[in-house]
Amino acid sequence: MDTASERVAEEIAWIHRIGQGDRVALGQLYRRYAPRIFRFVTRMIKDEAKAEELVNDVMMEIWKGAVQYERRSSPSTWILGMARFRTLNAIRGKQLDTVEYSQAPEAEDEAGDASSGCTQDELRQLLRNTVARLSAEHREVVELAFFHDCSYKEVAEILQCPENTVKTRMYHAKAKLKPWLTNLGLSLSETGGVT
Amino acid sequence: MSEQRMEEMLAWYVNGTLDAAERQQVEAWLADNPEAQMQLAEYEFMRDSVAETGSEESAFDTEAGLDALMARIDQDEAANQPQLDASGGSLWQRFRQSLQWNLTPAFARVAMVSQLGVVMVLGALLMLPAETEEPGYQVLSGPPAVVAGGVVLTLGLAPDTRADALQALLRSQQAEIIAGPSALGTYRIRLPDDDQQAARTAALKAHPAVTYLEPAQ
Repeated sequence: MDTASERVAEEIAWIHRIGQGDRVALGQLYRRYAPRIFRFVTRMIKDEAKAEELVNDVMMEIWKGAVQYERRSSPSTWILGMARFRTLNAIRGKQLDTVEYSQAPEAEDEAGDASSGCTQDELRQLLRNTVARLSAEHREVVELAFFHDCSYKEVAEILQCPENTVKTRMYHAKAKLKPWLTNLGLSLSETGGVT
Repeated sequence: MSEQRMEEMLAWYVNGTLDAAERQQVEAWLADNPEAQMQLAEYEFMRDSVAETGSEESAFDTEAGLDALMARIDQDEAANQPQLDASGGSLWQRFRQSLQWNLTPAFARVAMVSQLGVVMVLGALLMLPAETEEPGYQVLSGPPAVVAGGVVLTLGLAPDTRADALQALLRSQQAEIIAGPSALGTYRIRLPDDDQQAARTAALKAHPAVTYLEPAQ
């Protein structure tokens, strides 16, 4: 059993125990997922206080609904799907400010100027800022793939869209970032090539 | 698979979630393909950048959040407790509670009790037996048999059956007429209470003059 599948098995066991009213298991799942949910939600809405509230709404839903978890999807897909659904409802219901696309990654010159003389850490920070300015549909695919380590199938399940749409969104997100990636001066020698 | 399709797989090659067959396809495409390797390096840079938590991000206070969640669960359970307690009372107490009896004005309580009394009296009256139980019609088999001993049957005969033929038939099976003929021309007959009942009934049914033979009600 590899580390990822061990982690999934552990989470399934926690959810099973939560379904039996085990608060210790809830605490374990909370410590693993609450920061991830918070980050996921704050990529969708600006209001951090509301995001914290949504984290606990999701965990409360898990507390009450764990007994109905049927393992048709992985725990992370189940939980992030729930978080997305609740966040979208909150956005619709309360007119929350969303994190919107703001003309960023198109500007090759901006990318070139900003990146000149930067360290790798600074370059990563620049790219992170740029990802944060992608459109919501591109940003969430990038986040789910690279922060939450979701497969394209899991991303499709969380976003409720076809797998090919997920792949295409990632392709276009990368295309949007291409000027930055190019001007950041990436080369195979720097990155180590194929791993 | 097209170049674009292959590149679309790269992100998931980088995050390690492709299955073995997909991974092999991507690796075959990457081999001796400098342009594809450059794409891969860019995806890896993206992954490293995104996976790192930025210093500008507010750190989520996990322990405070967990405490808040546990407090919320306690509140939720406490809120449900009175309902459970209420459901544990006697039937009369729960009934009173459901009516909000204590909050009901006195005149309304009197009216409700009176109404309940009337309903109960009317219900009791409905339960009393009617003065006549005559249904106003009679089924072919007639009213239920009250004759003790033997089996009572309703017998129908062909219209041209002669009296002496009927007598001979009944005598042959030791049957006797106990009522009839009815308005419909049927007789109620009784067969002896012995072990030949089934055979006697079968013999009567088989006779060409018998058009109807069923146990009387």
